[in-house]
Amino acid sequence: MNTAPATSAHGYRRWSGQLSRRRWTWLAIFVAGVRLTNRATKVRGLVWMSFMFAVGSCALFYMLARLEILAGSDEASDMYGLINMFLHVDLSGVKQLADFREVLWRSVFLFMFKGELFWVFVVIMRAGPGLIADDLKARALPIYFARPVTPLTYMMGKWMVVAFFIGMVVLVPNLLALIFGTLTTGGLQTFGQTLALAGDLLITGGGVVVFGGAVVLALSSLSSDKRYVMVGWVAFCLLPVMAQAVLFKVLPDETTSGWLGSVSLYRDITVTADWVFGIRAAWESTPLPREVFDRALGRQSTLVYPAVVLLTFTIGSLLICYCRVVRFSRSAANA
Amino acid sequence: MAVIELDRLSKWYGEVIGLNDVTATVDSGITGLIGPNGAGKSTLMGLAMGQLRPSTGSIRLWGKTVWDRPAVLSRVGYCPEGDVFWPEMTGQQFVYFLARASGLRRRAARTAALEAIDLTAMREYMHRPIGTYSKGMRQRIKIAQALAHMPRLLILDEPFTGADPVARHDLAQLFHVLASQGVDILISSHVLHEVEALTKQILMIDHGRIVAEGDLREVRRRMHDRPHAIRVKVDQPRVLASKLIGLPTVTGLKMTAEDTLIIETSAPEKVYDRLPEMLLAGDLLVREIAAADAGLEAVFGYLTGRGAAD
Amino acid sequence: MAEMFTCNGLVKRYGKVCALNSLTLSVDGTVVGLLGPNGAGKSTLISVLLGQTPATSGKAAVLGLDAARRQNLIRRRVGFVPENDCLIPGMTGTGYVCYTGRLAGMSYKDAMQRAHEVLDYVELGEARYRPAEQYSAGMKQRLKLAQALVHDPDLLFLDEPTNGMDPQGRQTMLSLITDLGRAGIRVLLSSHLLPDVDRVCEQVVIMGGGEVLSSGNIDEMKRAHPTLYTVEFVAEGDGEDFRQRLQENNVTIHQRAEGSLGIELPTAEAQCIVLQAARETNIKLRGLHPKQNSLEEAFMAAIARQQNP
Repeated sequence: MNTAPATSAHGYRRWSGQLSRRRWTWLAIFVAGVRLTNRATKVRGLVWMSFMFAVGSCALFYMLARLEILAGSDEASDMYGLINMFLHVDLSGVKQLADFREVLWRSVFLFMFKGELFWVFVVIMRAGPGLIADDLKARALPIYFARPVTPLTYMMGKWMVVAFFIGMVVLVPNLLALIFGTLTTGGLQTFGQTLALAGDLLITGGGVVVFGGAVVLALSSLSSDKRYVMVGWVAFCLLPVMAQAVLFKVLPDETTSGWLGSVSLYRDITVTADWVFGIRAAWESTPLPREVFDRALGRQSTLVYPAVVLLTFTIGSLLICYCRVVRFSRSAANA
Repeated sequence: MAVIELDRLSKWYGEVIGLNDVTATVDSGITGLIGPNGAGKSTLMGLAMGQLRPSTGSIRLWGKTVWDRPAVLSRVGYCPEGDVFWPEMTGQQFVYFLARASGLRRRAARTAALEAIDLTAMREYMHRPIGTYSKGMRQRIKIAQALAHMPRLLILDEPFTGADPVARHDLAQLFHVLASQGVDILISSHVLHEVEALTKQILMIDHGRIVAEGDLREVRRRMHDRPHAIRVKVDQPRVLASKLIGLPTVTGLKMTAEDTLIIETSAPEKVYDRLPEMLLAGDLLVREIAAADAGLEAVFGYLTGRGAAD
Repeated sequence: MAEMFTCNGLVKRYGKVCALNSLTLSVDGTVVGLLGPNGAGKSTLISVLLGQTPATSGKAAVLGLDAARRQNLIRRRVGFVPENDCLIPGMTGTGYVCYTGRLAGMSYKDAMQRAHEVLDYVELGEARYRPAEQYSAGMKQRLKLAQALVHDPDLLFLDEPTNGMDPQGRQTMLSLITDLGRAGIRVLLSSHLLPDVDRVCEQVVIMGGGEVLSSGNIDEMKRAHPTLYTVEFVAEGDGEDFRQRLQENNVTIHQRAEGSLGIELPTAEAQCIVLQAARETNIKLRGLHPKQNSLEEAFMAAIARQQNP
């Protein structure tokens, strides 16, 4: 260029590099989203605090390991009480605890999982609502859809962000606890048991990641104000739980095994998790008397209804979100 | 007659200065209020509307202090820059509501609102909620609102922003009509061409101070420290340049295009007086003789010290 | 090199509303203005060209690429500056531009390096390390330009890039656009500010009601009237002899005012008549302005033709 640049000292310089052909834009969206969300100290704090579940699991594993040695002694009686308090199983009469190690570990993980669900609820409330709503509010969508970003990659990138944070709460601590517990307390008897347990943990955790991510993403695409999304999420989570509590109070037990027992999404998830972990079958196949574990199993329910409810919500949410994003992408230039 | 008088007027927001010891008068007719962002235009308008209290000094409309005297304001119409209305209200309700708020009785307010809506050509859209309006329509309904109570002074903060060219044209026409009916208008705008097309009377502020006031041509004439530039479009600019270089008052010559010569001079009158004779002597074909930097844009650039327009 | 964009019978309907009504045009040139009142279909056109909205019927091509099928290729070669702020809250200027580069398919290293380069270019100095929501209106506009330039597009779509900016900010933006044109980047500038379009564009397309009302070279559109002039002068008397002298030489006087005359010369080369008349009658000439349609007049005429054909 021999003409003098108008304002800049350098003038405009062309760039000769290559744009990547691969569709990895979702990765950029994911990384940027995680960075932005992670900047909020509350989210960061919540994620770090979720490692207390790993610590809790390890503490229980340690206690169980001690009980295997101390079975029947005076020292053990306090620990029996603690285990009973957390897992609702009375092990005081059980000899040869080591034989029941796997089912006990499964109980520990399920117990922690139920706690983590609340944590997931809070983390999603903090990290999820702004994902699409903030872009809508800032009218930032044109910068995505004027580039080689499709509605699907956009959704994928955004979903990965919330999935990352849910995973940090519901997957990572459990897997860490499993590894740590296996290494330090003698662990499960066989490698196969460990692997099966790890698989179950992945399935339940993954399920929560998919379900929670899809729902909050759909909610986030419905409003440009993330406070409304937050309120929507809280209502979505709490109202069914409250409704279920009322239903269980007023209805006789037999009628609550079907749809009416599946109103609470929390219960749906825990029932499904129980099934994935095979906890009922695992206890029932032990030679132990029923009164040892009866309280741990709780109300009997069928799997079909909760699973259908969860699947419907997940698929419905993804569809809603996709339709919304497609609509945004089409009107991006005249937003 | 002076419509707005500023007397040693200052306004601070905490430590931030909005206006700094300003003394000026705004005469009747249309006055363009111009200045860069943050120069103090909105502060001045807020003070004129009695919405802000002067830190020191005074501001008077028709000789009366405005702060704390709402009666004076019943003769002032104000169109703020931002969106300040309720999106679910229709245009008509909005104008009627504010006309009532300005003290008109029900029936009077209804007719006044309709008249103002007609003036701004919004009748077609007045039953639609304001939330569905385009930017230009919003501007027009805001102006209708300012007009409804028949003010004698209109204060318009960036009324053209976001309006499309047709709406801009119509608004400019409307302001001309209003001015011819005796309404005084103080209008701020960033688009200097439009201000220039509306009025030659300007009030220019920068960093909270008045840098120019009055007739634009007069302002330019008073800027002695700036050499004047004359643009001559001629078939052989080099021939003309060779003649001009002999004049002692010519300080610079520049060819900006094949047929354009810019003459820089400290005494433009002398150059103008000599030009016809030089052009005739050289048998040159002239297509334009014009002052190149007497426009608002050039004056603005000089006075705010941020480079002249090209 | 292929045309900036072409449309062939392009129709876009939203329900019953026809946003683009059988648009056929071919636009070439470096800096082109896209004008039209609200609802003229400008945004819809840009949306179709970017492959965001499928056309109801007809074809559109950008830089020779089919807009419906090759949208990813097009978007790699096009930069878009939307009208609205479109900043992502919490991001710094650098982070934002780097991110948009990544979205366009650049590697992180390339994007970061190039982000700094374009931020230098748009003159965002140290501010680039501050969150973008703290920027002034002018800085936000320049940041938006930077995000559109990061992947070095061949074509830029600018939607109202000077809206709401102060004169200085507009000046900077317009200089940048001119400079980009010189660097070989083509620009489609959609704007309501006709003076700005007039300053930087060579060509304009005027749209209205989803149709092209007029398109072509700006100078032709503003078509000077070669014999119509306005003369400004200072006279000691009332200048009557000056007028007489002009009329004796076949100059028609259309309009007279204090110190100025609207005249029509007998031929386009007869300006010397005015000079001679001024010299002979001792009139001090202060200006000789050819009468020219402003872009605004051309625009209003095009709109009026559509409304009363």
